[in-house]
Amino acid sequence: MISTVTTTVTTIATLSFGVTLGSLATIFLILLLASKEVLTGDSRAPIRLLGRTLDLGILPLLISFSLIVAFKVLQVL
Amino acid sequence: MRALPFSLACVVLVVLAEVTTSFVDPSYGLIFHSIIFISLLIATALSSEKSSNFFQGLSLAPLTRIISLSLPLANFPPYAWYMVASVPVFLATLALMRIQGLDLRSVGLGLSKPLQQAGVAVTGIPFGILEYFILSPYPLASGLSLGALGLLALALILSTGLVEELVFRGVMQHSAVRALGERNGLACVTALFAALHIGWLSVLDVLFVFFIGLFFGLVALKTGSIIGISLSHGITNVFLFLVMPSLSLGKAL
Repeated sequence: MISTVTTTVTTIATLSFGVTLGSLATIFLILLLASKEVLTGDSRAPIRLLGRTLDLGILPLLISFSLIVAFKVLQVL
Repeated sequence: MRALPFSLACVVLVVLAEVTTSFVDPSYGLIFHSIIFISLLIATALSSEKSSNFFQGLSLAPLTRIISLSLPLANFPPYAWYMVASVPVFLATLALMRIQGLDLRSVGLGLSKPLQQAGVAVTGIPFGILEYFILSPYPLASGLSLGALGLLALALILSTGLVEELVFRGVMQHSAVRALGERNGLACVTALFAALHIGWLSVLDVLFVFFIGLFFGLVALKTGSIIGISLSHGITNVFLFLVMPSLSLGKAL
């Protein structure tokens, strides 16, 4: 279970809860990446803009995903 | 798309998402915040440039919570949580600044009126002491040397003070004031800032943070710089998480 949500940038979860949240975030990242691929290929300017702004979510979630993978690998090793 | 009703709806939805995260289930909270984030991005594509920039700015609020919920923070020591969480938030903010063509000065990272900024920075001390009496958190770190504590304080100032002020007053308030006017823009961003503190489960703290946010927002508006308020915000957290808990611990021993 979540312990506390401190300031605006930090949330603390226990390891077991972190797995669920990490999985959900990974699914969200995949959805964002797939949407970006589709939207940036569109000929209409507003749709392309939407595709570009998805980077706002993709960039930080990629960091989150990399950290999740890194800790999983460390766990296995 | 009309900016004011949409921003009010956004504030209400973020409050509900935070309540869901804190009182119901963080997984539902994450899904809720993700839906708000996507809705705001869709709104950017359907709006005029001014409103579009504003909605992009607002999207940093749900995104901040999405990031903090998804990071594997339990694998890090508590003193590193703030620094780890601030990096992706900072990168997202830089990405937004790039998309909107914002330079450092337009987000308040210029040092105008240094004496005034120093005066504002000092307000972090009473703010931190007051917030400590509201929340009484555990010390972020104990048993560290003075040098290590100094480094941790510096990291707190950069990761919580600078990054959060860049997000809320630098980018979000900048676009909110352009889209809604000074009064509404300030109120909207301050409400979002306070809403993201619901997780402390203290109504008094949410009110306290609302008034501090209002003060920070006004200073940013009047001086055009976020340097003083970033320092004040960082010092508040240094006193809240390091100085005051250590002093109390010392007294208890």
